[in-house]
Amino acid sequence: MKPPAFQYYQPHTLDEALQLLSEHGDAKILAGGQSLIPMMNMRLAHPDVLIDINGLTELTHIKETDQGLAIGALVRHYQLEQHPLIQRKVPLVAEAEHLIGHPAIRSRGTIGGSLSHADPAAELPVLATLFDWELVVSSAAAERTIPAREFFLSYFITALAPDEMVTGVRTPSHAHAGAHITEYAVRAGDFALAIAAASIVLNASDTIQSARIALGGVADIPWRDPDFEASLQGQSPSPSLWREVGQHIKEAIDPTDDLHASADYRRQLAQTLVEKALAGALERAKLAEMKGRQA
Amino acid sequence: MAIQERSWIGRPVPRTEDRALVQGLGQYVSDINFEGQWVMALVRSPHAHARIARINTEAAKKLPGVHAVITSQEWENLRRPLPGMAPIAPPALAHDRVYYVGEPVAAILADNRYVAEDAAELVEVHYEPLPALSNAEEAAQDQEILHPSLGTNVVDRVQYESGAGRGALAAADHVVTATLRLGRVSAQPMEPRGIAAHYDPQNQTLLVYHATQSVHRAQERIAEYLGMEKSQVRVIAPEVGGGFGVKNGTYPEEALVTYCAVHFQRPIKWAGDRFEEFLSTYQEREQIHHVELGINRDGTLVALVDTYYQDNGAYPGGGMIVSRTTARNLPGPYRIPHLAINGAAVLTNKVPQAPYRGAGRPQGHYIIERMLDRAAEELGMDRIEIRRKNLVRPDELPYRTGIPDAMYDSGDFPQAFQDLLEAIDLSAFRKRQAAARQDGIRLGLGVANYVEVSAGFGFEGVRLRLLEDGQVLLSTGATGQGQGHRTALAQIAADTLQLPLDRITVVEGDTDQIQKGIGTFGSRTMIMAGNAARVAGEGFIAKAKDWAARALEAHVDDIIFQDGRFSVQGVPSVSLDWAELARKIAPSGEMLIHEDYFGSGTPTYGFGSHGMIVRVDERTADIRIERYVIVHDGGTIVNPLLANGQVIGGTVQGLGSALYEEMIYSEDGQPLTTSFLDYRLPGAVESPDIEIHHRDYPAPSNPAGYKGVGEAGIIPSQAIVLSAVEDAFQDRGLKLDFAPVTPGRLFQALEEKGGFQ
Ligand SMILES: Cc1cc2nc3c(=O)[nH]c(=O)nc-3n(C[C@H](O)[C@H](O)[C@H](O)COP(=O)(O)OP(=O)(O)OC[C@H]3O[C@@H](n4cnc5c(N)ncnc54)[C@H](O)[C@@H]3O)c2cc1C
Repeated sequence: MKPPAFQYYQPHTLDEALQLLSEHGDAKILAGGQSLIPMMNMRLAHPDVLIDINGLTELTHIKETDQGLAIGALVRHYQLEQHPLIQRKVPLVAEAEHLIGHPAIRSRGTIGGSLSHADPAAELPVLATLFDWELVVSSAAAERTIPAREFFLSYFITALAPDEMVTGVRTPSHAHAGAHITEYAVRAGDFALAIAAASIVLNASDTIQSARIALGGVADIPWRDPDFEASLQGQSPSPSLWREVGQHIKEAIDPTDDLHASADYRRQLAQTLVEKALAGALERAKLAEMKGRQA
Repeated sequence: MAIQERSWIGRPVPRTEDRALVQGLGQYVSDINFEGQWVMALVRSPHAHARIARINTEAAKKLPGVHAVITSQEWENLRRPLPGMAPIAPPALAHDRVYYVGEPVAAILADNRYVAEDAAELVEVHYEPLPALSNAEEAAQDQEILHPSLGTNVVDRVQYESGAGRGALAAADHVVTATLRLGRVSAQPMEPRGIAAHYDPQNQTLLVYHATQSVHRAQERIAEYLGMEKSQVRVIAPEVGGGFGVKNGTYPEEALVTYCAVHFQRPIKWAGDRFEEFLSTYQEREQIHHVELGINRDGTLVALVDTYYQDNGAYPGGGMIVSRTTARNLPGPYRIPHLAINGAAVLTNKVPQAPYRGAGRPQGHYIIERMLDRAAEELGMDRIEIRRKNLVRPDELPYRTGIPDAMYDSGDFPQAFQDLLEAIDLSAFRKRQAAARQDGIRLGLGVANYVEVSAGFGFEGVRLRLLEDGQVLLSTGATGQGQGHRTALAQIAADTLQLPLDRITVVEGDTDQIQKGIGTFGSRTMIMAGNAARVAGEGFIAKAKDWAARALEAHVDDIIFQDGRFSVQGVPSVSLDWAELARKIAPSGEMLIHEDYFGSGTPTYGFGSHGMIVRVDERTADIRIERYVIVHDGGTIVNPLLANGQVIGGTVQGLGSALYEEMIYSEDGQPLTTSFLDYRLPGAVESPDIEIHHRDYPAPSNPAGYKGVGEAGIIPSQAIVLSAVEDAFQDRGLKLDFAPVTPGRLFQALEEKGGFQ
């Protein structure tokens, strides 16, 4: 379990990193290394060149913006878990972090790495999809933003061009107040067999103003269906509605069999978790509303 | 020097080895580096079964940093069967056929492991794939024979019959039948296997550092393979990071490293990695049993008839011990007058089997305990009641199970079971279970009883040497792998020699330090080496008295040894302690050394009862352990901290093979779970608090009364977990017949009962 030989670069600025990326065809960005290094050690990945971005302090920011937060690609899981701005503005991110791996992994792994790795059973891509994060992407030539729902293409495949990297994400803080995430993993710290996240905003009449539902582990990319979400607008939230939603989603998704779960098992997990996520989101939405009225 | 006021035996002394280990100061094989060494990496077969057409090593040989690329096509000597495995043994490197994914085909010797792995990728092996055998029961039909020289795939059969055998089924009121399976597991010690060898051409001696459970057996194999005298081969086991049985047998890497070290006159090291641990270290447990249990209406057991097949993998490994021990454990602690057991160890195209902690004990108990649950259900009887009725009673001891040489000799099985039920508070649990079910929460109780057979063959030795400063060096061939023997053996010697614990240093696993040894496996070390420490201690004191007699100018018969001091009878004012004696001996240039052995052909039988409460989520198929209680008899306990560590460690490891761990192979023999991502060991979060109640019935078959404790925890785990989960769904008639019951498997079983309702 030793990686094949590679060239190693340690740029000090983003420009340098992007320059290297444009010069080398088979280069990989090394962020926290929690996914890349195991793959290299198992010789499943053979990059010729590694560009280690751990020295790029420009990618370590967590800043408040008009819509929410701007987070640098190199922000580590543990910071997402503990940073006061994250906890206040996008609390579901901090909460989801508890479900990701173990402390050792969270102390190294990064938000940029987690999104770029594009594991469909990872938590951050699910949240990115749920809340419509925008990924800020740069190459030596240009910068652009990619909406999360256009970023994930398939298992471990993203819309990044070979000379591009993620430099940060923009996450709106909207809809975090009434949100919940839940998953089923066999052991603590395992990748989940299925993940469900939901957020609900209520009308003054306590009917649903908007609802969002995203799932992980049930398809090649995080699953979301805005048309179906739209059909929930104006409805009264209730356990029976959640059961209907769970039933719908169980039939709408098309998971595959693998070593650890059959497609049918994943369907049942998705159904169960969606009900739980919606019930949890509603409870928080109501609480948020109460607080809002008191304020 | 303070003299201890009470015995060291039974005291929870913290492990003396821990200070160095927790600081990362332990030296394992991978920490041993010889000047100028080459490291070895292996090209392993990617096919479960294939013919090797040709191998091209040119590109690999040309890679800078590579010193040799070795195949048995070129090196005919490496085609010889390895020693220590019968009736058929693999060669060091496959030459015409490969029989499992992971079998070594070529060896690379290079400056470092990075280059060696690069070179391994450059070796081109042309294979012609052959159909693979991946089902033991089918393979036993011999339609296709893997090793023609054997004439059959059934490498070993075990047959026992007692009473009227199968015929007794006719006399039983009911016959309960079932097919029960156990999946394949991998031990995964924290330290993978490894070996390093250094040849001294001048003295023609070979020094081997080896992550092994038995230095003397390794020495024998190596000497035989290389055609050397045993005295030319010194094997040292440095720190060994877990063994669990799989670091004990014949492996190709041992032959390759030592052969190359002699051939090239270069130190050679192979430190196996985690991937190799999955692909090449022997595995265990995989069996399928077709069982018939004859039982009377009142719950009395009449007969057990079991035909089983063990998927032994491509070579015998040590698998025959496993299938035989399975048979001997089938009756468990229950009275079964008629037995008919017919087991087959069958060769297939998987990694060979070898004993893994438990080694047949869990399998045998899994069968009888599962069958008792089935029988209870068929009779409409309580699962507890049926066990009570059939447990061997103390007035029946010594009790012969009907299998030759199996005789339970001590304890009180029904009382242990009763104590367990009281600890769990059975009636309170049943009430809580019913109330929880009203709220949609499913709780289940599992119970199982077991016996733990240990030792019963061979010997083990201890050598004591008085050092100049009065400390005593204790060496033994019983090579530990983290059990804490250095503490426990010192406790035993400290008692005999009446010395403080810190005046005794224990050295395990060095063939230069003691002539003979067998090793640490099968929970035998306290029984064998522990008693040897006592015997050797007495001989050592006798020799010390000779020296004391000379020093004190008295007749040896008048020397008394008391409170750690030698004195002349009637003259207590003049005495010598060990340090003073050492100073008296020093000028002579001689040494006070005594080596002695303890042998016994009688096994010991520990026993106990486990109970667990699970909480099962019907929708996610998640199983959580709420409570785990053990009543455990391990004979005379030397150190309760160590004994508890063994029981807890075994239990948690057992929960792994009951809930998570499974080596899954595809039908064409490809292993699919070859990393910790897919092969799931239980972690701290999954491990329950384990409550242990000790019952210390001394073993009657050895002077100190020691019994094995290393396997107690793991024996009932698969039986009890399945039992508890079934109990949670008793109303649905859930029946589980495969261990482990992973969430995916539980979901499937519930689907067959109509799914989530
Ligand atoms: C035992 C274990 C358990 C885990 N459990 C979970 C879990 O439960 N949930 C979960 O979500 N994750 C889990 N992970 C993965 C962890 O979250 C990783 O941190 C994450 O997948 C990758 O982040 P990284 O910074 O380590 O990326 P790296 O490993 O450095 O890189 C991963 C990939 O992303 C690319 N990359 C990295 N940064 C960028 C960038 N800025 N722009 C473009 N490409 C980039 C790399 O080139 C590489 O291809 C686990 C990991 C381990 C080892």
